[in-house]
Formats: sequence, structure tokens, C-alpha cells
Amino acid sequence: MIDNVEPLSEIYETSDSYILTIDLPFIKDKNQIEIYVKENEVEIVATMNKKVYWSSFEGLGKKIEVNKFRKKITLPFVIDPESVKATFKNGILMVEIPKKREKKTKISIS
Amino acid sequence: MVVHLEYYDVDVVELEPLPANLIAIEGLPDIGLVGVISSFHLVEKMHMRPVAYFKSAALPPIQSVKMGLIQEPLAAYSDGKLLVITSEVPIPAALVKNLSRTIADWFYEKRIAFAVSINGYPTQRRIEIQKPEVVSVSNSEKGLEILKEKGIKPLEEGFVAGIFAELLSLLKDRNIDAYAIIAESFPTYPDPGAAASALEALSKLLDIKIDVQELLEKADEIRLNLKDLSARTTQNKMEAIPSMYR
Repeated sequence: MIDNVEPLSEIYETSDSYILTIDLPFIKDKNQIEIYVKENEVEIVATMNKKVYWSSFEGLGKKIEVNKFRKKITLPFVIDPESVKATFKNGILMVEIPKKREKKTKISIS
Repeated sequence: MVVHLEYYDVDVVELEPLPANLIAIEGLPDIGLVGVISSFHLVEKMHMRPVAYFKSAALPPIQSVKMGLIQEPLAAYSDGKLLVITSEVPIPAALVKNLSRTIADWFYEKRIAFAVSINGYPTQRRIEIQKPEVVSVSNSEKGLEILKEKGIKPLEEGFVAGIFAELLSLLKDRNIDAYAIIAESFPTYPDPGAAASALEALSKLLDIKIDVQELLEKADEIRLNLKDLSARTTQNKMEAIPSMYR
């Protein structure tokens, strides 16, 4: 049995954040999802309420039992965990990660 | 009986004679796999059998296996009234044009009554939508009137892209009426909800009963099992369609 099926995901960029969406079939409630943030990485672990069968193109398409999704995303900046927002609706997890705002420093001309 | 026909670098292998006036349904892998999900639902619910398959050197070297026997992944199925074309493998970008031409010529030769493509159109706000809306396109004035009569909202203006767009045009050249039923869909995830909406519209267009309840009940299973096909289809779509039309 494996427990780390990688879910389908998509990331797109707005002017001030990255929006990550993840397709989580068999996940019915937000309490089944854990989101971890460490430096520039976001890790999502979602646990199904039951074991299900899944077959991939690889591995001869043989059916294997799974009960967990795991996805790790690396961003090009250190993430402020306090600013990350997540919602779960209709089987899709949406994580909004604000871009780090660099403070402008005015340089005086000598 | 096996009949071997060769078109544009694509071979069609017919497994049995086909009657004229079949209604053709095209549900090849595209946005949200709406066509694939809809097609396999029709094949299962209407107890269709494989009647032909398509071979090309450009297709990925994949065969699905069921009970120890290889199954052709890009195939046509029929129940004697409908003729459904779908695929268990993604269609490579390089094959889109030739496969469309092959299908159009084959439909012409088989004297199909008309064709319906089932597809999805991507919307980022899909997460907020409980019941995806459906729009439609036809390749003839008569077809457009029929869509309006049946209460299937036509797409007023915009672009359509992909095999189904190519097919609408190629069938117009061959004087075959064709329709596209296009449901709001997740851009890159398999979308059984969108397929259910598309099948409801197809049901109106063809005046046939299609039960979509089971499709909705099996949505999680479908989403998980079509994960890989969806990922590879998205990748192919990126190569096939210029970004401004995606």
C-alpha cells in the first residue's frame, strides 16, 4: 500500500499573490486536510476516510490501495505562514499565498 | 469482419459493418475530460460495443488491458443508434489535425446523420459553481435553429479551439450538420459535474433519456482514476493551442 498519491494541482499568479488549487477527490471535510508551511515550501496532506483503489499509467496500471494525498510546492521566496489563507469547497482546496512585499528604501544622492 | 481504411496517417479498423444514419458523438480528451467522462458514461449505460478503432504512429504506445486482453484506447463504440468516439489516451498535439480529418472523412463515408462533440470550457470560478452552465455551437443555420428550439443556449461570440472546433469546420465542408455542447469546467481537473450538465443538454438535443445520477455519485472515483489522463491532456493542450485561445 502507498499513501502518498500526488493530487492534480494548479498554481497561478496574481499581482500580489500565488493561488494554488488542488483537486482532492474523496476528501469531504476541511478537517481531513493539513497544510504545513516551512520557509519557501507548502506541503499539503489530505487523508481520505477510506482506502480506495487507484491505477496510474505507470506501474502497468495495476490498482493500488491509497488513502492519502500529499503535495509539496516550492516558491521563490520565504512564506509568511500568518498571511497564508486556505479554503476548501466542492472538493477543491484553494491556498492563497501573498507575495513577499519588499520594502522600498530611498537612496539619497550625494 | 475487419475493414482497414487509411486516411491522413491514421488507420481506421472497422470491426463490423456500420449502418447509415448513426448519430456520432465525439468525446475525445480535452478540457476537464468532459467528453471522455460523458462518452464512457454513454458507452456503459447504453451497453455499447467497440465497432472500430483508430491507429497512428503518432499515438503513444499504450494499450489498456482488461481481463488479460488488450483494448484499443482510441475507439468507436455503438449501440446501433449512436456512434461514440473516445480515447483512454491523450491525443498528441501533432495528431489533432490529421485525426480530425480522418474522423470527418470516416463520418462522411459512413453517412452519419449528424455529429455532436461534447467538451468543456475552462472557468477559474468553477469552484463556486454547483451546476455548470452549457453553451452550444453549430456549423449550420439549421443546426442553430434546432439548438434554440431545444433550449440549449448558443454561444453568442467567442472562440472554440481543439479537435471539436476543427471537426465542426471539416464536417461543414462535407455538408454534415454538427454541434458542440460545451459545459463550464475546471480548466485542468476531470469534471464529472460538467459532464453531467453536458449529458443533460445532449439528452435534450437527441430526445433521449440519459441518467446522470450515477455519474454524480461516482464523481470522486472518476476524478481520481482520470488524474493521469487529465494531467497529460493538459500538457498536450498547452502544445496544441496558442495561449490566447486557451
